[in-house]
Amino acid sequence: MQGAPSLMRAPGLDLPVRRRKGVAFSMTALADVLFQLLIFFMLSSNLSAYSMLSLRSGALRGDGGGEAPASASTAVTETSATAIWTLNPDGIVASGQRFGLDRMQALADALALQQTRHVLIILRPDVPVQNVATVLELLSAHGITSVQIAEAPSAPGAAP
Amino acid sequence: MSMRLPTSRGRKVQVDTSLAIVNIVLLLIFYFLLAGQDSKVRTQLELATTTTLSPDTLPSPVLEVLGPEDWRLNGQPIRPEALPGALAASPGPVHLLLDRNAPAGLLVGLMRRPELAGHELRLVTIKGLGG
Repeated sequence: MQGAPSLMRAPGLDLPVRRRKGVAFSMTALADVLFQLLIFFMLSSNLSAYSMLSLRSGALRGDGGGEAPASASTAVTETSATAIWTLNPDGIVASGQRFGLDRMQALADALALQQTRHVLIILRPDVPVQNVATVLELLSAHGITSVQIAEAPSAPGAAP
Repeated sequence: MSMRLPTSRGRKVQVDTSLAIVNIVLLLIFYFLLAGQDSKVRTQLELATTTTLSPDTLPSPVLEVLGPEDWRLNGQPIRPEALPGALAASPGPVHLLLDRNAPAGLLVGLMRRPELAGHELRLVTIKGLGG
């Protein structure tokens, strides 16, 4: 009579019998939530990559110009060991010759061939910052890291 | 006398890929979470673009230059005379945010400012498709 109670049912009640099964956990809902989180973070994250360009001020000493150092920390550059570029809004003046901005690559190649390691960039005040960044980036790509920046003489008739 | 081994019936093996998908999506979420931590300073300036420089995070302090006297340090307006005191706690380089169309005279003027003397200046650019 051991198995008799399991076979007996209360008269009149036909309730469903819960059968024990292996519980299968569905990951569909979890994956949906995670995908929504992923889309949210993808849209809200800022993937813009910044870069840094070191700025060093410089001044000329020698026969090329008579600029005075701007401050005590300003490096004074010998003209004989340094390439001097004057950056204008429409181009570059290097060694007395005027080049367009599209020739900057060739100029930097020439500097690399001459193994010039120091460049002094003389900036006209109205040159956009984008051009300055482009020149600094180009020189950095050619391994020229010693780049100094000076302001062009304010005399209106001064030749570059 | 022959042995009757149990025969393998042709059951279809079901590989549960949902767990792998959930793992990959979780990793992507962590990545974008960390990548999204970068933008602490929001600026309306259009930064100069560079293409070949190695990307970097934007460290502090960040000096946003809107004009010769209109400066923001880490997003907060600051007067130039108050800058040395604000930078006293961070003796490292100062990262400059300038508009790409700003005149170079503004940049050279910054390099000559006595408030920034003693600090290395770094111009912040943004990665672009073309210069």
